[in-house]
Amino acid sequence: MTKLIPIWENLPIHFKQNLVDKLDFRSRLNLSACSTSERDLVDSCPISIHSLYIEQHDEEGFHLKISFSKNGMVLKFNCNNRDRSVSALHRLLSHRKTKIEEEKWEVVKKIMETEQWKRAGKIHLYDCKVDAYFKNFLHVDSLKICVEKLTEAMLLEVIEVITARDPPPGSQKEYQTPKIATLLTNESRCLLIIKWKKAIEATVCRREFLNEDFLKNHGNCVTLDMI
Amino acid sequence: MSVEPEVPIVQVEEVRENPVLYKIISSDNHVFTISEHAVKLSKTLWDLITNLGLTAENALDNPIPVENVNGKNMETIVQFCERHKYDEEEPEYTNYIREFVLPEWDRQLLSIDNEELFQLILATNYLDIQKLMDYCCRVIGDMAKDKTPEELRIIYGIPTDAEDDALERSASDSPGPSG
Repeated sequence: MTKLIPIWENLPIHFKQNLVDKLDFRSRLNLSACSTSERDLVDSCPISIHSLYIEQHDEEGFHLKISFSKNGMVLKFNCNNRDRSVSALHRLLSHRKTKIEEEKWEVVKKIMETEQWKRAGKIHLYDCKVDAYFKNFLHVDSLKICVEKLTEAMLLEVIEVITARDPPPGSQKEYQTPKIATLLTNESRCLLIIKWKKAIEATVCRREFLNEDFLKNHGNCVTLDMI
Repeated sequence: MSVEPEVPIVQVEEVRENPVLYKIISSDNHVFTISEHAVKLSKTLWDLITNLGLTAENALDNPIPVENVNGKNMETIVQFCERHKYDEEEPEYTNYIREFVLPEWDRQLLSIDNEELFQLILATNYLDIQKLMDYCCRVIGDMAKDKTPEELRIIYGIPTDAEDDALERSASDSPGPSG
């Protein structure tokens, strides 16, 4: 009997996908590094996250611990500002096959009810449409969220909330610094809403050229660090 | 049509409760008896039995030839099916298997060299035995633990991009069916 060469390539694709599904995260990465075909294979399989643990370590930032199976390996992400691991985490969670099942939203709802969530000063979410939970995001001082469809009602709601809220202590360090900044994005455009000292302003910008488009109207004196 | 067995019948496990028995002939003419409960684990075989209209009365007189599976793999498969024929179905099997630790008996059964294991997977896929596929998957997945990409390439026999390209080039250079 002739030997099947190469053996791996003769395995049925659904078996390979089933196999990838059973691998721990590091093994997935190693398999995807074997070749382009294997990277495509791994990318075609959803990542299953068993649990997510958020841990406050210091005032600077917090750590996320993600476990891919019960009692399995735990990945730690140090989520300080501009930390490289934030982009690694973003890449992981924005995997094109990653999805949140409907019942998981119950968990999200519970998270939104926690004190930590209510006291959050800054929420930046990428590639996650939050239309259904839109209102739960409006309490923070700096917000970046994506919505599937930006409606007039939504916009009015944002403006109403921003108008009603008192600016957070210490937010007005300079005259030209926005007090509250909110960013709503869709696929190509984003709406930047800023509460200034005496006014609220909304600017439509191209998503890719947010800073350029915004600064066209405001010059370089404006600090966009808040958003 | 009945096929005369050339080798003695392999009775893998003595079956209880006077079950209906079927005969299966492997590609190398080994004959195996398998009980109805066990054979139902193979969707391919069970569909075949149903379509052929085999009954308790005529089953043993009509052995089922399986040309894609050799005797060695068929023996493993029959052993596995007999072992698990009374298992309860897991409601969420996929999620269950993620946390599942392979039973020792099954680990022993599947402790074979890599090439044999890959051949067994192909046979299992052909016979469409989901549970054995999952178990094989677990064994193959366990091999990947703490291995570098280089080691994985060797263990699984994964070609590199360069080898893939070379294979594609040679396939495109070779004359087609009409050439």
